[in-house]
Amino acid sequence: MQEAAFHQAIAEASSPLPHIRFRVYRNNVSSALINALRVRYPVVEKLVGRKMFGAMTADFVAAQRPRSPVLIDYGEEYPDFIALRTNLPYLADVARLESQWWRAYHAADAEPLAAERFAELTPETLEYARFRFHPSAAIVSSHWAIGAIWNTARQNADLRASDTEKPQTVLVWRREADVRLQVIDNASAAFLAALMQGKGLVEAVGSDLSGLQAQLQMLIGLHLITAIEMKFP
Amino acid sequence: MRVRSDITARGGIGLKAEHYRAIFEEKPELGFFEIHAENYMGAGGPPHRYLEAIRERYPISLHGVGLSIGGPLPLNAAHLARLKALNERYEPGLFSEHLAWSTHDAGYLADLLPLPYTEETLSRVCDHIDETQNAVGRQMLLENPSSYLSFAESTLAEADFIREVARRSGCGLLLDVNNVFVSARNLNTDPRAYINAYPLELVREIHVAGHEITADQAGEMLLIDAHGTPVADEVWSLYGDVIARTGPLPTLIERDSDVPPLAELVAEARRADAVLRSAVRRAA
Repeated sequence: MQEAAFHQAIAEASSPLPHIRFRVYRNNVSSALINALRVRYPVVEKLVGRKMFGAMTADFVAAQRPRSPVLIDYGEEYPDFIALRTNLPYLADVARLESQWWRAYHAADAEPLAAERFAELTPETLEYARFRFHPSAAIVSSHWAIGAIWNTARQNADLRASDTEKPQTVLVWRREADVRLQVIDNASAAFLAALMQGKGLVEAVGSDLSGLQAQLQMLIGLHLITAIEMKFP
Repeated sequence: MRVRSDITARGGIGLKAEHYRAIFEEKPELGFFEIHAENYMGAGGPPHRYLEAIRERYPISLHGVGLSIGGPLPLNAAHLARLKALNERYEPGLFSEHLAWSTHDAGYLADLLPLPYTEETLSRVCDHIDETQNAVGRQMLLENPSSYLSFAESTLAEADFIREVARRSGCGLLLDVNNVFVSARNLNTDPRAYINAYPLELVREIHVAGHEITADQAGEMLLIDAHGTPVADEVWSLYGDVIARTGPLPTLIERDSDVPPLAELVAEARRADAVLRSAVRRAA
């Protein structure tokens, strides 16, 4: 066995085996990466079954090597990849939700802001307040009931097709050591998305200011905010 | 308060996310926990939270699997910086990496791949270890690989290659006794001859693990360093021979797949402790 031939055979999965035992290495590379994705996408595996997951994921692994030895970051493009390889219309969106769960799990730590700090906002300063979210916080939207599908699969319960056919938006964030998923309504989703983009409360809540108090309470109650910055014109 | 980071000559186990809670409930007596560096390179969250808490009760050993010290490419500077940061944050008693490569132009390959043993690879490996020890600011231990085949261009025996690497670079050694056993079986050599040729005086840590027995396509028996089963009796026996000559050393029970309940790994660490105690008695 020559070193140069070994390197080439590792890099190109389609190249012929340079040695009868070379397959061990190729299999090790493939199974280590499939296992990394099995840890990141357990609900996808439950939805399609172990065999289908293995085949679909082997294709991904062959097409896309990790760029870094930190496998925590591997598989960001997996949801887009499987979207083209499944008959389950909601699978890619469930994968996006799982992917966000994983990012939230590993996101940087930050202390949520105490509720009293929100009380310091006065009617005069309210519209200048900008909110910094916990690094784990994100919103995942789908035409399918991804929150319900995720929950059902996690509990190993049976999934009825009719339960999947409803748009859902899920808020994902981490509170201390626990990653949380919560289905939120359209108004809350629009409100949070606007704040995440750096908009102020008045603009974020839209035309109907009557909802502001409730949305603010949600923000405080879920411990989503780590800092308030004043942005005066 | 933090425990001393020094790792004593006792049995330890790998830290697995599956065991985080059980460790606090069962509070097992163990010499140390070893972590795979790459599993703690996320920004935050539960892995760091648990590791901080475990670090207050047990010494930690830091074991890298992704640096690609044996490869022809330059070392990844960002990865070296991450290893340095982990060393500073958790103050591990030992820090080790592999005599192998894992990064290619095509990306990171997530396996420990072999290299031929020549003057050229010797100087490459020494340069990479120098760079690592300078960047991280401490001595590293180099682990011997498990082999499934050998390279035609090798001009040095593995044990001699490792001895020369340690002499030139000043690194210490991590002797993986299962790897010695697996390689010897696969390459039809004698594991005890390997141990006789190996610079045992430079060993600072031992690994033992389970291997899988399979066959290659020609029907020849092939052992895989799979870390998915308990340590085999033949490996325990070889370990006993090594410890009888080196004296007691920190010993890791490696288990990375089909991870059993915490108590089963602790029981294997106890078996290592018994061997280590008998070496102390013999020396007395």
